[in-house]
Amino acid sequence: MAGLVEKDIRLLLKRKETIIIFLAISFLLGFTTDGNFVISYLTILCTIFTVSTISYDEFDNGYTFLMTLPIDCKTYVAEKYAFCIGSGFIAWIFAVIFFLVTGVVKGDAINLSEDMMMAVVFIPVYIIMLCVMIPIQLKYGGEKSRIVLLVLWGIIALIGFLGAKVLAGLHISIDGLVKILDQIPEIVFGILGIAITVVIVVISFVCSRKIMEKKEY
Amino acid sequence: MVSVKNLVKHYGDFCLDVSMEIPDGLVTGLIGKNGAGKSTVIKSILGLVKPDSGKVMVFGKEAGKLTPKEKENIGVALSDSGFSNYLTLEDVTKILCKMYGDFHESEFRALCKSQGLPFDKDLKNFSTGMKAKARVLVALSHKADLLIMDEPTSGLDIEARNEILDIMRDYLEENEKCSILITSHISSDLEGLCDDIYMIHEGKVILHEETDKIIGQYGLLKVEEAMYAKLDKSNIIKTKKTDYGYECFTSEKQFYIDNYPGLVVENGNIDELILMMTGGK
Repeated sequence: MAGLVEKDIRLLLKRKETIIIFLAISFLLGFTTDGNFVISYLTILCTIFTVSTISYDEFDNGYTFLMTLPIDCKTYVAEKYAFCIGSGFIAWIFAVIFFLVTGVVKGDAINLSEDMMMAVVFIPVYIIMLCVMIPIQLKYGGEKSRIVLLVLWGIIALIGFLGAKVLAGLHISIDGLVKILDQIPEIVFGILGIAITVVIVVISFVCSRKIMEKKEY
Repeated sequence: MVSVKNLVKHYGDFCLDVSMEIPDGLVTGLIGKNGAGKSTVIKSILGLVKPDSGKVMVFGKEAGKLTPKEKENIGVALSDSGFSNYLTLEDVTKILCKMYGDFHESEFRALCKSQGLPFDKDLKNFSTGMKAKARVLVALSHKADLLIMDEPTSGLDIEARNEILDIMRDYLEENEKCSILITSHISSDLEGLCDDIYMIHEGKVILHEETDKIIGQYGLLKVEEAMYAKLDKSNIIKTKKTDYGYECFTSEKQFYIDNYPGLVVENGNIDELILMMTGGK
């Protein structure tokens, strides 16, 4: 697995100019926008960059040779999850520090517990995003997966829209639901969030592994 | 080292059905026209495609079930696939260091330098010859006992081809128990390197012979119409009609030299073998 991590880091660094540009943009965003937008921005950006290493692997029949190296499908998939989730976490830590520093520099009133709570919530969000993106990228490849992901996000948005309509039709207030959810203790929310994320990671990993094992190179 | 037993694989109308062996310490050549099934055989041995039926055993184990540790003992150079072209040879060296327990970094660097391969240039900017050399050197970098070389000299000029073949010969001298499976379109490469040759045509093995026998015993008879009628055809493998009569490919050229004085007999070679076996009647 160490060889695969080395490969992915080196592939990622091939785009260092692009990474620097996006870091510069996030630097600007950090100073010009309020709130913790920069945390989600940097973490999602890192997610997209790390998942793109799959495209590099796939490019020019790359998988054929890659699978002759001393790895198996399970190791390959495990490395992708570890690399993407790990890199995302590093980006998240960097983004949080950046957010706090810019806040102090700008003289913003930082509510540490509230801001950190919002930031922590974003960890399962980016992990779940990865859990959707990785199997789709492995199954459909770089080009097709973009279309599949667009369709998928469209379907999710449609389900949200229709869900809201159905709730309205049943005279159930969304604000009311939020209030009920607010009454649940944070610790329960936290445990539930971790449990759901772990289950999604396991399901996604198993799907990705099966996709890779089914493939012929 | 490798045993392929009744390997069957279908792709639409194409059906591959082969059996072959790669013995320990020998260099085995696999020849055939484009689309004959060579790549599918290689991919099956590497566990990259799953056979519809039959068994492919590598180191006594099913090819698709080799562990990463066992795969460290295989060196692979493929004609149309390799490390990402966005990497440099320096990147590849660092990756191989972490990938193989027995990677000989200093030796690899020295070989690359001796072949004029730059470490700081993206692989995409390498010439065809440089790419081919890099692929072969990567395959040899971790002292594998089994080498699978798919068209390692394809598209190269004579000088680059000879350099690659020399690298492989040196490797063989240092690693006597090493087995190699090599495919090539260039017959002279195989004649100078292989101990035995498998010929594959339309998914079937149509000939398996020692290279020395092909060169020493096989021959091409050029026979006029009148003589063809009287010719003993028991040792003729393939016959092709020509303007002047017939070209007959035989596995016993000495028999015809001894019994038919005046008959034009040319020495056999792999090019003739391919042409006659896949084109004759």
